[in-house]
Amino acid sequence: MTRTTLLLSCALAGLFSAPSWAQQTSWTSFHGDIGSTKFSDTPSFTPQNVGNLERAWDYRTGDVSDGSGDLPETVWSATPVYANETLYLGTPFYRIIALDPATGLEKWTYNSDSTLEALTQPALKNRGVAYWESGQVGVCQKRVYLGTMDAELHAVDADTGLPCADFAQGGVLNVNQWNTVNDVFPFSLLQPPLVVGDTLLLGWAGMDWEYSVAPPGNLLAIDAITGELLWEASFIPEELIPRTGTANIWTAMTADEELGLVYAPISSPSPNYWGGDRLDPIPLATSVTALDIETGEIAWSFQHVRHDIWDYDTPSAPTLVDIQRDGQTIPALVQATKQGFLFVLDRRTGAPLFPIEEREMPASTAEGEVASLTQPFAMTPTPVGSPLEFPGVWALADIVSFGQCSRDRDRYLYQGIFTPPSEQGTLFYPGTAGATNWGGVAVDPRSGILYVNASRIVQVIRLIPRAEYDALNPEGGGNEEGYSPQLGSPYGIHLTDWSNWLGMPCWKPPFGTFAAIDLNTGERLYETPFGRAQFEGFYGLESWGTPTIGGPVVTSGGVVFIGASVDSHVRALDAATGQELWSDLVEAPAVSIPAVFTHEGEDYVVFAVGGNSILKPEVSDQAVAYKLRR
Amino acid sequence: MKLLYLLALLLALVGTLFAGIAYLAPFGNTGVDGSLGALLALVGTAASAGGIVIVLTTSLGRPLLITLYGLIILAAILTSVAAYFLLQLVVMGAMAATVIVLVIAIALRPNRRITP
Repeated sequence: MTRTTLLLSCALAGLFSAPSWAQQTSWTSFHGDIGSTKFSDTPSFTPQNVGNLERAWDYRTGDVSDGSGDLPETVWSATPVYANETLYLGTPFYRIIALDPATGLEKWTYNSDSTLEALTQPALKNRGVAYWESGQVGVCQKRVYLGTMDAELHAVDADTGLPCADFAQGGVLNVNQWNTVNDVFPFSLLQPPLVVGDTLLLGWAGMDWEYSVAPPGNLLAIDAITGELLWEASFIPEELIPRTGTANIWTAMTADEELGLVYAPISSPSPNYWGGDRLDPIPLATSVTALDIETGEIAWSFQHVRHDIWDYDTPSAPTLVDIQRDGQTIPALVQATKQGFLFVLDRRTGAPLFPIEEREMPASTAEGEVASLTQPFAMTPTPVGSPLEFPGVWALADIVSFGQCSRDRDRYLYQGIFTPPSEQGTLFYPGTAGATNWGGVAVDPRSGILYVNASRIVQVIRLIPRAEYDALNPEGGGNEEGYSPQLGSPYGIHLTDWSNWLGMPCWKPPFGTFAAIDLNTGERLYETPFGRAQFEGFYGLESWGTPTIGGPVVTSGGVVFIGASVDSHVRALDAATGQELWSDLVEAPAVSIPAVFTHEGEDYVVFAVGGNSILKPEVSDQAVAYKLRR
Repeated sequence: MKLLYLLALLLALVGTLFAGIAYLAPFGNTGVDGSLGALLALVGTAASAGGIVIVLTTSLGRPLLITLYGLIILAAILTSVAAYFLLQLVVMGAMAATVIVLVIAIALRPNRRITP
């Protein structure tokens, strides 16, 4: 599609209305709506005027730690929720803050008094709150829900912040009461539940890199009023539970109320990088699975990684989109993945709407491991982040390191995507941080055009035999980098970015991109470098781009808002071209999804700016709101 | 002639001031505050200014003077380039202007001849 055609498509999109689940000027959930479109019907933001954005207000939660004191570091990735004429924030100290959207002044705060320990993650993490309302008037007929690191779900009155006494025990639900199998860690509730009608759909986060045998993944359906467990769906076959675990839902979910289905992005089984004890099929692991909202019965499932030994978790909620095909409208969804593939499926049946190729994959050299012989490849729509094109050695980094990068390239194993981890050391591309991650995609439902930021990161993963790992006695363990023990397996692992001794990436840029794809045809409309890398303060060239964490929002006026980049800037892009129209420097990388909404006739975009040490050692507690200058 | 040197000094001091603001961030986040890059820029601007002060206040022999000129100009150029990659455009402009003014000042400096 030429640029002219793309511009025309965007213009014509304005003539057609969005489906009901995406007609909004509120921002009531993590991805904006339960269809996870991240589409905002705010036509006032246009490419012509978005350069006139000004800060409306700047608020500091006070809930921040850089890890140098008694508290762990914070990673604040909350999407602000706009509902009930109020802006609600969840914080990494597990508080709820209610603000006046026009002024940023506090209306009320609620403190869960949760333990501030990094029980299942290397940092205190929070991705915000959830909102529910009954439609009736009265105490707790509108509620805000907050999950904590230590497995509590709190429900408070949305007008006052007071606990809802009729919810569980005085407004606090102990979710860990259902953690009864292989309970080596608590169910950390870092992602707010999905609210569908009067049901809360709840996943949890764990430590799939730490243990082989771990709590088996499940989906909990909770009554939004009473906190009663309505149903529980499990994802690990019973006979495998003594040998594995996780395959949980740590990210957001999506629902189609008309079809009565919830779509669950299910993660990989434990341990992440060795599967010798779980060679039997686990069909629901690393999949997108549809379940009946009323009963939890599985309607269909699509597994996009067989026998996952790369931690290629399904990282984000799938996004609902109606696809036009041969004069018919097909209700579909698009699932973005860490591999960079975009799987477009009929959301009634799970049937792929574009061809899927099963390609042969390399064998594993690890003891006891049997890698899957094939993996599914979705080449249409065009994969994002160029996952099948190994970037190659970056000459600048190689010269500066006197050839270290070239020597690494020769030393480590790389046989394409899905090269198994090895004792030799495997170049891991796309890495476990993904081409895409929990930020997911935005889709304009009027045109079926998808917008997504993608990272291009090469990592090195080495399996370390148990005796050697124990002798190393490394401290700590994390999911995205460093040493992790994978207790119960023959191997610990070491996972790092592929860098030279100076810390420069050894692979060629771009390190991150922003893309638009027409989901009706699968055609990539553009993919451009996004953001600016930063090293010791020095910014890289624009053509280098940067890895990103967080996601975009597309507006009906043709603007994309996004934070996500290393360089601590928030941006507005022209949806038609991906070109930057506006940016502002904030306190730290805005590793979140902004909220875009209309309040009292004025349109706002609000970012939570929290930082993430994966990108850069800067943290913040800033919430910043922008509006058009009058 | 001395005015040109004073102008170069003033420009270098402006660069130093803004480099200090970039590094120390007294008015809020600059995007590079506390970074090694910003510190290097601050050192570069200060060194350039210091070098110009030495030129103005001391009487150096020709070889030493030429060396000092070279070091000041090199420092100012490198600092200007560094400031570009730090997105500190005021510092970049100030140091680039310092180089230009200094080169003009050196070019117009009268030659001192030893009269027999």
